[in-house]
Amino acid sequence: MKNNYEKTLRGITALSFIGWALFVILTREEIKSAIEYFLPISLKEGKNIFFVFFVGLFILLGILVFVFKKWKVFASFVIRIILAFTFLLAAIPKIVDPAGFALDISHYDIFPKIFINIIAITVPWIEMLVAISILFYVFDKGGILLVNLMLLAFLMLLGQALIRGLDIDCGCFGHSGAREAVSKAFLRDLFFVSWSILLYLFAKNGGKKS
Amino acid sequence: MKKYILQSLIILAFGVALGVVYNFLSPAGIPLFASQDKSVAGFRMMTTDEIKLYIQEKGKSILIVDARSPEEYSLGHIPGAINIPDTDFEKYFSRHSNEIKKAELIVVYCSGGSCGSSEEVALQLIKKGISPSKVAVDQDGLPGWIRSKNPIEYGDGDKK
Repeated sequence: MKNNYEKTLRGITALSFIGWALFVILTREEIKSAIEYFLPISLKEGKNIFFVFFVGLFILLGILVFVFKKWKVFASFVIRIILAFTFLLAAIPKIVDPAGFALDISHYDIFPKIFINIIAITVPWIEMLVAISILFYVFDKGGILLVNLMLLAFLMLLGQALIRGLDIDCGCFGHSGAREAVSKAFLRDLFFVSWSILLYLFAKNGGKKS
Repeated sequence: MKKYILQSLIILAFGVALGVVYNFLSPAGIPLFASQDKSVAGFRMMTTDEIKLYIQEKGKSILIVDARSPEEYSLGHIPGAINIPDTDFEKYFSRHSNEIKKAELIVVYCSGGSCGSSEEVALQLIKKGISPSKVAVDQDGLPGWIRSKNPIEYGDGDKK
């Protein structure tokens, strides 16, 4: 029984990496513009190389999960890096420009106006601390719980915007950051949620040590 | 599970504290709670009637900014409005920087309540150092202006 559970978990983990590579190919224009946004000017010309490297890397990660004996340690390490860097990339532009982030939150048209600024001020710092927590194993369990809760909250927020047909910028990476439609952000968040759940399951089963 | 909750509460408390302290110290900081008559980014929200009243008041210099594209602007805009599209803010801002600096109140509008471009331009103006108290967004937009049977100016008079 336990063997079956392990096999299923391993299969889901590998497929999530390969699935992400396919998702990146499907949303190549957005991903390329995001890569371009974060790259220094001197490297912007090579955005296609970075894109191919990005896709290849995730396919390779998926294969490695099948190959490695200590796949759980490996997958846990990779997921921590992906989620931590994503949270850091999301937090920094929002910390720098809280007014823009507040405006983005207001466009979701769901929070009472009185709470929007305090959300815009505090959420990026929580994202930053969560990133540090899961990357450096500081208050690790708390970080894993929060990464799950935050990603689920973001998913619900994006989902309701999608259902209501709101034509807004996701604001996930700050107001003037890599711009993204809500529908694509929702799909992307589905992958992130699956990784954060896997991270929780690995931690619960002692993924760091096994 | 108790450990998970306890640790996450510690992270949350630190996050909130850091956020509030940083916001207090940062020049880009915003009020903790937005007032009802202002947007979350600090600029005022005005109705068409309020703008008309303001225009009628003597001695007050008001600058109206159309945040839509130059094509939309040339098809009809509020008389006297200048065009600063949100998609090409820098170029148009430098073109009109003198008028903007002289203005006592800058009202930005676009195609209606949820168009977003006016809020974007208002935010960019604040980031350029214009006091939030001098920046307002027309919440009714051009449709509100037309609904109240106000005159419209045509052409791209802005491109001098």
